[in-house]
Amino acid sequence: MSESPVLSDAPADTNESPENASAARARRRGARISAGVAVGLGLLVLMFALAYVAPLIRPFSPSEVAGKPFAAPNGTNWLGTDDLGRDYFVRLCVAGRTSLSIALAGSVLALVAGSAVGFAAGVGGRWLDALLMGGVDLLLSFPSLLLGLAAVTVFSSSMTTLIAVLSIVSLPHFARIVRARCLELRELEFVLSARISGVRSSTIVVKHLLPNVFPLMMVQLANSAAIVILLESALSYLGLGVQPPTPSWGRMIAESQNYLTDSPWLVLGAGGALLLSSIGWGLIGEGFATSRRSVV
Amino acid sequence: MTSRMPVSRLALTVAAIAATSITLAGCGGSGQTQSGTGGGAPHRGGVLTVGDESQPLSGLDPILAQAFDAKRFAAQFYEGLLSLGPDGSTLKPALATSWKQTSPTTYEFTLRQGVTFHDGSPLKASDVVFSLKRIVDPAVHSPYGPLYKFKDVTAPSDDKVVVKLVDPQSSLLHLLAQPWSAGIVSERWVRSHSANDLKTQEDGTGPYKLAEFREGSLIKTVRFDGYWDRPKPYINEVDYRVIPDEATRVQALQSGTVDTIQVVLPKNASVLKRRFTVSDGYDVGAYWLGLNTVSGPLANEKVRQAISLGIDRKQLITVGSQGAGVASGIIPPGDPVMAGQAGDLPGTQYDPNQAKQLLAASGAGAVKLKLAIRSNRPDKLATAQLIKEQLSKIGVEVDITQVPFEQLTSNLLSGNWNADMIQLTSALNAAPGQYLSLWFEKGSKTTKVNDPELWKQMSNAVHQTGSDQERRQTYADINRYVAQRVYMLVPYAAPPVYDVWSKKLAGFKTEPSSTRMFLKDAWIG
Amino acid sequence: MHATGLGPPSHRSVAAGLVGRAIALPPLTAFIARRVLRGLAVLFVLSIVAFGLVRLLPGNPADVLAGPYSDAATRARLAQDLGLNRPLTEQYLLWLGRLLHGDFGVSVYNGLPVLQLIKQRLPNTLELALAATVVSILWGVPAGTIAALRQGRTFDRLARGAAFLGLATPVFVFGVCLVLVASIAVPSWPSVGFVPFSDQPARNLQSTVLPALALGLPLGATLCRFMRTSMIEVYEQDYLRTALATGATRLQATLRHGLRNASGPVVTVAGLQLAGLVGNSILIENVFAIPGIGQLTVNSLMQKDYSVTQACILLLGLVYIVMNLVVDLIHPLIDPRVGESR
Repeated sequence: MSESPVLSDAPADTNESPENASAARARRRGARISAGVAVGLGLLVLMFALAYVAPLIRPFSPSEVAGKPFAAPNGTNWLGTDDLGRDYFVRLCVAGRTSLSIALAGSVLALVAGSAVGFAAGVGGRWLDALLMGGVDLLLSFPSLLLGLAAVTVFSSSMTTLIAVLSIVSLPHFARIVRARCLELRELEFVLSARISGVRSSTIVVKHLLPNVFPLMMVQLANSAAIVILLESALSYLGLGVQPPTPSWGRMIAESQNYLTDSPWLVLGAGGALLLSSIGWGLIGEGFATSRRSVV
Repeated sequence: MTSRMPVSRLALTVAAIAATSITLAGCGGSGQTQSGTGGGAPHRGGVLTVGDESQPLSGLDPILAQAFDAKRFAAQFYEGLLSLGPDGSTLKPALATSWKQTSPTTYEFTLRQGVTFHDGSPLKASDVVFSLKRIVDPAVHSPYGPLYKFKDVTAPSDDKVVVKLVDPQSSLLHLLAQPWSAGIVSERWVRSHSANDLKTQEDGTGPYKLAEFREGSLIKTVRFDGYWDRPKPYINEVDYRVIPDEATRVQALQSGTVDTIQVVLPKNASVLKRRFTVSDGYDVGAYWLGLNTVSGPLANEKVRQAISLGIDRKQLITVGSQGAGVASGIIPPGDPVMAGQAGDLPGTQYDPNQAKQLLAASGAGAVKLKLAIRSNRPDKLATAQLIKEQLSKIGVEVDITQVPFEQLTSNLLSGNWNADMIQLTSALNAAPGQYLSLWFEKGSKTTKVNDPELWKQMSNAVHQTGSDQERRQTYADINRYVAQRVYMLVPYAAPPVYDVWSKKLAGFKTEPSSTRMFLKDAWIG
Repeated sequence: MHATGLGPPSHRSVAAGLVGRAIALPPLTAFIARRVLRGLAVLFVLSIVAFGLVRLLPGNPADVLAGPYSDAATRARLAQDLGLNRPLTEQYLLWLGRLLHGDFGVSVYNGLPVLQLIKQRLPNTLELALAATVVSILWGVPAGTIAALRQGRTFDRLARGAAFLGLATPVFVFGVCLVLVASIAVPSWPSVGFVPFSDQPARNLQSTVLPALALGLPLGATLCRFMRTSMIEVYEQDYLRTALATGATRLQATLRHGLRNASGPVVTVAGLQLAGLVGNSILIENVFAIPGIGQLTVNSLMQKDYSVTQACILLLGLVYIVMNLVVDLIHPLIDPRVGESR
């Protein structure tokens, strides 16, 4: 999180020649940047491991009654038990599968679709640009949570719907970033020369633009994942996420909120897991962003 | 404080939808009184703040009230010709001071003198005639309309109203005793207001009148000075604030922001008992799992029996209902005909080994069941999840789908269940004949049972005119017969809601409909 | 990380997209006209989306109104009476026509005019938004400024850590935790049970504290970051170097020149955040039982109250569009960089 101050958070508005300066700077500060990224990666690896491995090791299934309801954390039930006497630690881990996988899948999908839109708008003609960016503006002219709410209400909340909806609401950010970069890049010499010599647009995108935009896309991927995981939990907190009996963090928070004063560890457990995951993604995005000197 | 209510006193009669007779469980007895000690003698004054889950979705028109939220206001603003005692079944005078049955199909009511509506106009016999005819007017869309079979309603004199029925109907007086199924309105006022006006304005004869309706946040009511039952009501002002979430409601009560709330979760009720008065609740909510025994895996009786044996009802009661449940058949023990008993129910002892044997003997192979339950009800979901877990141990896979309430009931009513099991909870506004007809009436679309013997029993129960004792016996037989053939699974019955109030509120009594019917008797201590 | 989790796009991506540097800045009036026209077009499309969306919802208000024990005939009659059987295009045009006359329709459930419902709830949401903005500015701006002054030192690290945490925290979890803390520390504090200001001003202010903190503290994180970034950038400018060279202390220079020059992007961010509050306030209104617009939107959506849902969607969209517009318009005016470099 600490790096040489002047350059680190400098706004993206300042001009620079993108293809070499930032790379050089990244190399220069590589070692220090990796600290944040490493912590973030470590957190995520931990969360994924807890989600996918821990339930296999612990002696409880997420749905079985493993003890008295509302038991406080103890040696047998590490995080106590929920209202049905189910092991809360195991449930928390299994719920992590839902939240983590939706966040990852949703952001990757948003990256692919959003970048495609961004490239098309950036390279395509004026009309295509206006049309696509108009659509993006429309998407942005609406709180993403509300959009998600509406979509999930209409199409019922399955895992697929959630991934689709969350990727659609995250797509505009990719589109804008990629387009803005394309607009800058296409005026640069090496792209201009390619255009003049009649290289096809798709080739320009793949050969010249993509390598330059790719790091930005990666930064945004991490940022998006952090947002999507919060959005997903918000939806399921409002009862519109993945439906029970599949556990999810947001719903667990909403349910255990009923027992807040008597069994606060229930809310704190689920809230903590959610926070750690979003911090994980955030640190990675942060670290990359710093290294690329790009959009915060 | 009090032990669980002796159920014989309870009457579930709130809306006897079928023309079946509910004989009044004619024993006296009082409702639950948990406070009443502190607060001194009843006196006027004060402001009571109530935290309610929601505002009436169906508006303030009493005869459109089906849900708790709407009935609670019908009970404050409007009154019927008669009223019910705290036991929920004893008939008492209200807008009529006396009544008599002059023939099997004719009733005559004598109206109380000096009753005025909230706008100051006096109650006339013509208002009563108008009100009753309005309930059965199809244009009003009242859910209670189909319950009445009026031949005619007339006012032979200024203080007399005569009701003539097509067929004898012993549930009539109970229907007329509930503000929602027979609220009396002012003819002049209703005619001069639009249907939309009626949703947010009122002009009843009840103890409290509306002072302000603020959508989504506040309904302010004030004492009606012209109320006939002087010196009631005592409390000057009752404010109903909307707090949708139960946890938030509990928090609001604990911090003193509100003085009384209702909670659904037994755990919350027991936690709140430490500092507040909590009603014991009434065991009127049977957890029904209606089974489709016409098609699918549950058409096989052995499979059904195996499932009944594979369900650990004890665990469902202690864990699923958070200890609030009691053993129950299709008719909850809280219903007067069951007199507090679950009934002698075969095949309800947990026996996973025998269940497995039965399943193997049934030849059904791998059994997969789809269970549809109402969405957004964590208390219902908890039990469903436990059932899923229990049945997985005998090799039956249960797939739970949560469906919005309207859609669930519309699936049920249309006969396209789209599930093998549907979870519903018996409601207060249902009498045994009605709710059993929902599941077991011959020829009805909703019925998913093909058993002429059961249909015969049902028909007997609905059309019988025998004694109380005989009537109870008929229902007890059906209760047992259904359990024996496993046409429906009922793990338990539990109170649908608990009233909780602070020391500030004195003299408050709850009753089976849980609509704060007796708020007019309470005062600020 | 982007603005707030559920909030608007960050200042940068919006500014970069809308005032893309490839597009030369047109004369101001033409620019404004184009922006307004674009906003109107988006609003029009939004009206179609809103209308179509609620009709895609499974079920219809007649079912909800008729209640669970109604028969099919009652439902059909109700649907007829509510005009739900007309062709969709006809329903849409009817609605749009009334809309242009300022008639937003009535709620199916309580029969009240939609405009009245919104008017009653708007003050609550605005109060919450305002209070949260104040909270966010109160900690975000000073923390960002001081962090920039003390770059790389402990305070800087703490501030940046706090800002990062603010962005990563789910607001509803934060809200619930605040309720928990309050219920332990000050049991009699009316942490929930919102009372409108017009009812009991004192009670209202008390009950606004926690939701404002829950909403405002995470919000300030973005402000803190932008403030810090802008201030650092300003330090690099010639005039500040000059000021420092002429003997002004760093603090004096900061207060005299820095804050003013850094305020451009910060105002932009604050503006956009106000729009972003809308999303988060849905959650916070849920946690603290505040009868605001967010709650109205969610409820009407769930209950399929067509006119109310449509109006809410349009209103929220309008807030977004207007805020974006305002930011676009003031951005070139107050941020010297935008004016000069383009």
